[in-house]
Amino acid sequence: MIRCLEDKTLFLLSEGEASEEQRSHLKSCQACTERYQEIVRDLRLITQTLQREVPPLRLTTSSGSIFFRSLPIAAGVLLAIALMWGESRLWRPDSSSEQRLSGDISQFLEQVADAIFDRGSMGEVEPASSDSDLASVQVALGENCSDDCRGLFNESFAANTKSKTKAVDRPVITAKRRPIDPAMQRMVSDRTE
Amino acid sequence: MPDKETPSFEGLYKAHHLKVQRLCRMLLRDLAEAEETGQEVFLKMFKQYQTASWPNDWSAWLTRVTVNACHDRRKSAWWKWWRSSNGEVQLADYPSSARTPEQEALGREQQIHIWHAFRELSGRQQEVFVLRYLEGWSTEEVAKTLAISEGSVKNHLFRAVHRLREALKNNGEGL
Repeated sequence: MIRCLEDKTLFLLSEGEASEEQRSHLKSCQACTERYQEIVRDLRLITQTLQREVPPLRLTTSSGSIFFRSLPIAAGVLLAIALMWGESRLWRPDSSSEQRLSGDISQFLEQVADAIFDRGSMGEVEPASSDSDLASVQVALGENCSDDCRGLFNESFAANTKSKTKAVDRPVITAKRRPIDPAMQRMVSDRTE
Repeated sequence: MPDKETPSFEGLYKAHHLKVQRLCRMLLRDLAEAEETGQEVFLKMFKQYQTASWPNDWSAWLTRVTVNACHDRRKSAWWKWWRSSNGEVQLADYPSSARTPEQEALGREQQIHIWHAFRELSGRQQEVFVLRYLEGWSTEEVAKTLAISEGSVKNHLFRAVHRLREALKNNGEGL
């Protein structure tokens, strides 16, 4: 003798399934028989009701329903805006660093221009006199040097030092490019001719 | 190409369009959407009609295509979930003609409760219930059409029947 059947077993019995033992219990148990008949009756009523004309639907809207349905969309829009803002902040350099970079570039270009053209005056460079060169060598070697010789050396050294100091101390922070040195232009034109 | 002995497309449409529309209205919440889906089904039927491979049973073929079309429509229309609101059965427009003594005994409110409970079932439970009890298909046919196992069909059926019976009992207690 088995215990009373569960609802699912009774349902399966109504579907024509279940074991022989369950069927015999159903026949012998009054309580299970009543429950089984109730399931069959309810199922018949439900089926007959749903087989009738489908009733029309009335769409009812409530503010709470719309609010909760809108939440995922609002969250998505906010997330998209936040991502766009973050991306723009990440990839766009700020103005101060841009100006600083521009100044550095200008300074570098100015120095390059000075090195090429200004100090330039390659055409104006006086050819080193053999006397001053000889004096420089003599002083460097610690040889005896006459007063004229030492004077030539000092004069040459002072001239070089002055030109270097001038090049280093010149203010270079300016964005304007200098015009091309006329001496350089002359030199270039002489070479092309 | 159909000959004179085979049913015409118009004849098939007249014979089955009410059933297709009813199925769509049962399985979809939105009336306009149900009509669109019904038109899609008959468009598929028209294309099938023009081919050489006709189904043995147009009624079963249409039922299967309709259920699958409604299933696809429910899956793809996520935005309509947001758009749609709670559907309620209109009391005033509900047909009141009772055909059997049991239906006469069953109050109008109770019928509406059953419809509410049916609307609250999951899509799969609705499909299984409709095919098994309203169309009279076997469990095996339902499983094959919906591409699920027979065990799943029985589980869905049991849950659907359980919820519908609960609605019936709750209404009976409330009366």
